[in-house]
Amino acid sequence: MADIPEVLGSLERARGTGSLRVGEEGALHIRRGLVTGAESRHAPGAGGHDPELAALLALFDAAYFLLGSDAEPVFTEEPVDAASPGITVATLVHEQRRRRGLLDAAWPDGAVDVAPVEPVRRVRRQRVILTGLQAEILLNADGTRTPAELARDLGRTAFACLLAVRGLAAASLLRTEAPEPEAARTGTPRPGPAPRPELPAEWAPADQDLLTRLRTALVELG
Amino acid sequence: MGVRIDDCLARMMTIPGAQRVTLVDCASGLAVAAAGREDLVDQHEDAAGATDVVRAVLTAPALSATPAGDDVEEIIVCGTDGYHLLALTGADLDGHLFVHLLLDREKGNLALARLRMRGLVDEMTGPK
Repeated sequence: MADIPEVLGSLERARGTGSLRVGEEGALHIRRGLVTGAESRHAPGAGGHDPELAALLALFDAAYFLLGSDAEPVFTEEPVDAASPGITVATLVHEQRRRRGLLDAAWPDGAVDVAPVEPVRRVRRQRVILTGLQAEILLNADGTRTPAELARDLGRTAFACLLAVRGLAAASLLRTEAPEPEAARTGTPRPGPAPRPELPAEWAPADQDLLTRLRTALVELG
Repeated sequence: MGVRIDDCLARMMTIPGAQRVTLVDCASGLAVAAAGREDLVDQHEDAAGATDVVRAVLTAPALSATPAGDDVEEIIVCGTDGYHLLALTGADLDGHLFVHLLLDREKGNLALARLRMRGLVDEMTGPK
């Protein structure tokens, strides 16, 4: 399995200049060992008021997906335009881990990252607090677009949408479309960081007997 | 970083008492630009921590002025040794950003800093 951070590390030590293509996922652009740009097919490209700021946000957004990819990296030496100041591999790796931690803290199941999402029909809560972006996602989720596609259409970073979507999944306000045959929709492999099978897809159903006994014990204590 | 943003941060550092200023992407907690006192190792940790505060305030109905929820422009933390001013940009810049200004308690003037920050943040987010 390819380890993208490792390959980037050796390019950094060699102070290489060129592009590191990561399978069909995208590419990282490197100048004198530092990463100056990145694009991923899961992240919308740069766009917005300030070109440098947009490029930097897009770089970290794309790097989140590329650093977690299993695809085979291929390096080509070529001149590279610097869209952003060079970022060290250590910074990229640190940021990728931190972002994955944030996502998992919001909701530990990555399945919602890559599947088309739709709002639930019934809200089983008395009140709901949403961020602006979460509201935008609920209003636009139509069961055909993945969070990455919503990010592109809403003009947000993919990571912002992933985080919002995980929060919505945790609040049971959003769900993935009914499971479909793998790769049937796009004919391509599952995108995004590999799903983590060791984590439960849903909370296990509550054990009614246990809850009853717990309640009895608590009542006795009180 | 672009001249425009670096220039804005440099001007924020001229606010009396300013010790450090960081521009943070609210969606990810990434520090995208900084000026002033160099604690580079902690810069990203600080940005992530400040982002948690911003998120907590934005999602707390208790800290809204109206039932519908008003926009938050600034969050101010007054410590015994310094002020933290978190100034949020509007929704129309590239993603949502905020500026974290650390102000010396003795040399700084909170009212003045707020006024200057608001002007500079508007300038930064305004049309080119």
